[in-house]
Amino acid sequence: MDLLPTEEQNQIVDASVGFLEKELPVERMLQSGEQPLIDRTMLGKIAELGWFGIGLSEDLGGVGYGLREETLLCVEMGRYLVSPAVLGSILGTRLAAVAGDEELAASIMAGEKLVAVAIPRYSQTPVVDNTVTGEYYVFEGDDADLVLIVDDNASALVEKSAISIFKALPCTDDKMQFAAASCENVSTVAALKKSDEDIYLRGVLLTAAMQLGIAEATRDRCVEYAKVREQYGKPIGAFQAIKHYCAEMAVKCEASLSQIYVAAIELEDPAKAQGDNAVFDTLCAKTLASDAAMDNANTAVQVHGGMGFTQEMDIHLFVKRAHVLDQLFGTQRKQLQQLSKLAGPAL
Amino acid sequence: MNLDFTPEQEQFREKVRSWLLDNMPKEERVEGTDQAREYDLAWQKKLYEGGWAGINWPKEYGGQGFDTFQQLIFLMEYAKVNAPGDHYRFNGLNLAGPTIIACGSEEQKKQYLPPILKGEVIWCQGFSEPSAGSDLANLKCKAEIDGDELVVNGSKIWTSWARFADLQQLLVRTGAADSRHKGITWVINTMDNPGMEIRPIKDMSGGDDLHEVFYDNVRIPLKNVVGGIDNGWRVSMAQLAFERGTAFMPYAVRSSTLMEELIDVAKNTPLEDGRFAINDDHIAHELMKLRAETRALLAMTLMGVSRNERTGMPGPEGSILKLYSSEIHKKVLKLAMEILGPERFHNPDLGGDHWAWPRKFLYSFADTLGGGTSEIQRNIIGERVLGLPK
Ligand SMILES: Cc1cc2nc3c(=O)[nH]c(=O)nc-3n(C[C@H](O)[C@H](O)[C@H](O)COP(=O)(O)OP(=O)(O)OC[C@H]3O[C@@H](n4cnc5c(N)ncnc54)[C@H](O)[C@@H]3O)c2cc1C
Repeated sequence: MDLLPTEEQNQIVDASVGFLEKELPVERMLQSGEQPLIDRTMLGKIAELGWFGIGLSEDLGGVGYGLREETLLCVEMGRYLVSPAVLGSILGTRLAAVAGDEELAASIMAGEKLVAVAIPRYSQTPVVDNTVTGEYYVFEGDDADLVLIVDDNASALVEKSAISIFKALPCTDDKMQFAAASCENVSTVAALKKSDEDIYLRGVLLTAAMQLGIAEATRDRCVEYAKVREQYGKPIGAFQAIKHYCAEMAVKCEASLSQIYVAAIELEDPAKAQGDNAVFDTLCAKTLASDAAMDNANTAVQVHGGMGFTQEMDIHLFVKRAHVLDQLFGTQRKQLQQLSKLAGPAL
Repeated sequence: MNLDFTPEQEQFREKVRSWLLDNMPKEERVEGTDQAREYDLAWQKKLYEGGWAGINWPKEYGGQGFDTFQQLIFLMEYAKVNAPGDHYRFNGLNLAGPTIIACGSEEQKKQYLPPILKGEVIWCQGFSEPSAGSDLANLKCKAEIDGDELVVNGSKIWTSWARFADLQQLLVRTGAADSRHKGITWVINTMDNPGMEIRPIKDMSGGDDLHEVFYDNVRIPLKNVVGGIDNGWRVSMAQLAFERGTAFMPYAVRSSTLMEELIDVAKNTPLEDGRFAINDDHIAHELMKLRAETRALLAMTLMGVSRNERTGMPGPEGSILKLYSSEIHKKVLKLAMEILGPERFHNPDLGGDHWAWPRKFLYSFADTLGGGTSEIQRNIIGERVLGLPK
């Protein structure tokens, strides 16, 4: 038993941090202008790193790592405010590959096709094998080729061109592309039943990982700021009110981190993936990570004082992203409802 | 990143489990009575005879010398079968014993260690004083050297189980009044020593396990000093080296069990509108939120053990677990009060002992005080984990 990442896993993390720091530093988000969260050039670069197929086995055409590595990568993606479409493409590759559409999987993995993420809008008809009907919100759809639609029982990829985007909406998360869309008997290009592969649950876990990235990033920013910002002749971190905020942020990170790692291990093991503990632990993971991300980002504004309230600092970006991520793959409210239907886990 | 235990570890788990199920006492333990003392000693004796005493003590001192994973598995199975808590045995096994192993003389080790493992003595801890709680280094209980004895005058407070104890690990001021950490001595005192007065304190949950202890010219042989005069601060920290990150496993398991019990209570407790509590949205939401938080305790414990294995020593992250664990425990029991509502006052059918939940609720206030308050844990996390200035 060892919950911590192996040396090889740490190398994957270090390499991805190196890339993100160089290519997608958070400062990019502070520049004005219309540049999207992800463009075709960046898509190509990310594809070259193999991120879209990192957790897919080699016999399915992937890089050959697993969900644990995907999870570690998503934590860093959260930390650098990477577009949720990258998560969409990671899940999309898997969906296509497991559904047997090698060509589609290969094109997503190669970055030729980008996958936006949809969430249900209201009174949803269930996703069935071959068609999708219903109203959705789509994140990061403008530049996407495909849209990932997931519900409790099935998951599907549809061509973006086949759905009607009826309204592009401004998003609180400034650079996030956001739209209301509807599907009327739209044919799926690939679909899976939950019993084939639970894409929803993987989405829940990987979103939790991205939320953890936000929780950690905001904790770290607060700690750094509290060491250097002085008032009343001392660093504000010497004041217990601030110190204790930071401590609580650290507690939330540790709880989410531990729970996410446990869930990733359980969910990756196919023998356990459909088992109750894996489901239970994954739902717990996102419940905790949602709170950690939103609460830590929220606290971070307070710790940074007036500067935290401005667009000159990056703190507000984390607040906004934390709320978007809470919506992906079911809000905390939904996870809690699902949790309430499960028996107590084995200890 | 794995949760795998080796086949040997799984066999060990089985062995622990079946031994515990076969040997656990079946009778009730009546807290705060002599029966509880006898119960605890008898159970310790049984553990000793079964080869399970002192799981984290080195073999050369009669312990089991289990590696970290064996300790983890033992504690996990122990908690799962709901074997008796450490209770009065706590100080001897976890504090006084390890301290003597780390800092005691050969003679002290020979004299004091075996009786702890064999279930012959109960130890208590006389550290806190009226003016030295969180700020322990402010302690004033004075000890002067007179020939080959220390003469102790002053008082201690919050001494758990003092009236049931045989021996006491006592911190006294041997240096100047303002010497703080530098003038403290760790000494072994016997509880029947003349000049001592022990007064129980009634706590808010109805128990009286806490005590004030007064010392009026109490004479303690100098040979009972452990680790040298004025060296007590360092000595009192020595037991920390025995911790492998496993200390919270029992709490993690017990909190999970308690949580599931509370969910069952919610399924069976009617609200004023006739629905069962579990069907109320607010209660269901709060229950599930806490269920998730409680679940993380187990994962955090495994994380703590993993970290400890990598670094070879317990880190200040232990404070995160202490803080999280005690705050959650309080939240769970507060919610229990809300769920039980007026039922808690009169319905003896709920969970057998209808006072069990309110009593646990009232006792949970001790969790965020004892062993370093939540505020002190936050200070430690801020300063030692995150590196914030004092
Ligand atoms: C059930 C129980 C069993 C105990 N058993 C024993 C025992 O066997 N032996 C023994 O020696 N002691 C024992 N204690 C004592 C325990 O260690 C102290 O209660 C604890 O250290 C707090 O000290 P205090 O009660 O004097 O509170 P105080 O230190 O006076 O604290 C009062 C409040 O001030 C806060 N505070 C104090 N200092 C700071 C600071 N620097 N920053 C922020 N906030 C601060 C505290 O967090 C608390 O909220 C026990 C306590 C309890 C509750």
